[in-house]
Amino acid sequence: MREEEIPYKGIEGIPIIREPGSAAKVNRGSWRLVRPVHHSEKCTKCKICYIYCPDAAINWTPDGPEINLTSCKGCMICVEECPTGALTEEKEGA
Amino acid sequence: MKQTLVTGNEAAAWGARLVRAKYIPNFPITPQTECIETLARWSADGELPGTYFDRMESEHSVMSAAVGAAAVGSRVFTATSSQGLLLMHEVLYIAAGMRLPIVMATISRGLSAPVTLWSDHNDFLDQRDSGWLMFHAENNQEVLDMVLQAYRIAEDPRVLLPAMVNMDGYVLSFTDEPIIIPSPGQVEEFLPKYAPAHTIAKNRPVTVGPPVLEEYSIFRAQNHVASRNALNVIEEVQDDFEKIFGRRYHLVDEFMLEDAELVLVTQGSMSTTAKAAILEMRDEGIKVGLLRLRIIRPWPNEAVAGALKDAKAIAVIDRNVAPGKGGIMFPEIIETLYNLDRLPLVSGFVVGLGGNPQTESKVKEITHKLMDDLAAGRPRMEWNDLEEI
Repeated sequence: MREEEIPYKGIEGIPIIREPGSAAKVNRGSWRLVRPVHHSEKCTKCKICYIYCPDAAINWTPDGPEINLTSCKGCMICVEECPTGALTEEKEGA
Repeated sequence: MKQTLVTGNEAAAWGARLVRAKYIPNFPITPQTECIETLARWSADGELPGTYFDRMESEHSVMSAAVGAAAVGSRVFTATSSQGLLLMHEVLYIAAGMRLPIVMATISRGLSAPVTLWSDHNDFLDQRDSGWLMFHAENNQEVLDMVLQAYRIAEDPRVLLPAMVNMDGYVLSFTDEPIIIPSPGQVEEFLPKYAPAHTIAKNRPVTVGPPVLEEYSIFRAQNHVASRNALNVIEEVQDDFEKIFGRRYHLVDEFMLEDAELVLVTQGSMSTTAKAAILEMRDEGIKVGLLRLRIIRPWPNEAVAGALKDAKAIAVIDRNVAPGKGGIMFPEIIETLYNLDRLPLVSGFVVGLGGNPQTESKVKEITHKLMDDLAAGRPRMEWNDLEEI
């Protein structure tokens, strides 16, 4: 686009998100390369994964952790921190 | 009209007072300190009702606080110099990207190392690509007038960008000059209460400046278009300004250019000295004039090209240096002239770094060197302060 053709959008051209909490509506985990997988037989429900997740992508249920894959970025901190090996790494799309 | 003796620092402080700035985050640094001290005194004496004068721990915090206050819809003023301006650098881009009409007085001082307290324009021009509007005053009256105009221009819905008003440290900041301080009523007529178009409010939460993907280019383009829009707005506000205050400014300051064959291009307070030298050289029959750059961003291409198109030779006098390149404004002038039918000869002079005085005799020396260049048909790039070393 030629410089003189760029329209001035006024307030619409200012980087503002006007709808609070709108990020909840989009998949924030689409660029994940690896995912954590939970093995309930090894889980002691110690909640360490739940506390360590930097993105609050682990919900806590009576059956242990439930990984929210629209939020998980695949950092594998939960896998690293799990003391019993109840969380393991798996390649996305494998 | 009654004139009052004030320094450049006090003139900027008067600007902040008259525009009824709601929030003044600040951190002191030579040579800006007196501006902040003046505002601190007024604040302590109860002369700034409705203004929150906020002492902070660093310039980075000052500009961050300014961004926050502007985002909730306050009119914000601050001031800084040199290293302080460099510490703000990161947040300046954020203020521009979020399109917050903050106004800041910058009081130019050379950059370390080695340490200097005196003026050159490297600190100011280092912010050239930050997206801010950048104005450079020649004298204390213009400092005050520019602060008033800066708010009007920055807050215009076609612009919505922060603005920097620069003055030379010491030469203006600590020198008393007689200026006209307008009445609060006049300023209120020129600059109504700030009615922000986009703000964060308790009942209207928004996210300002979020991460984006391919839209990034659109927002940068909008920042650019808004800055270009400011050129028209700057010209538009002059009618109102003249009607209320009786003074008028133009995109560029032209001095004896009608028949000038030689033109000196300057910026800031050295222009006054150069004008005095030009008057003397005119008596000797030398056809020399001056173009003072007062709006650095947005760049007034047409006004600059129009003022220089009839010159035979031009000396761009830079009180700054981009090491490895030369004067910062030198290539900008050449680029502006490039599309003219006939390109004048353009020589570049780097002068007055770290406050080295720009005397009338030095201006005359440059003019004579420019005449030599014109006769020889060869431009030069020269450092002007090194002969005595």
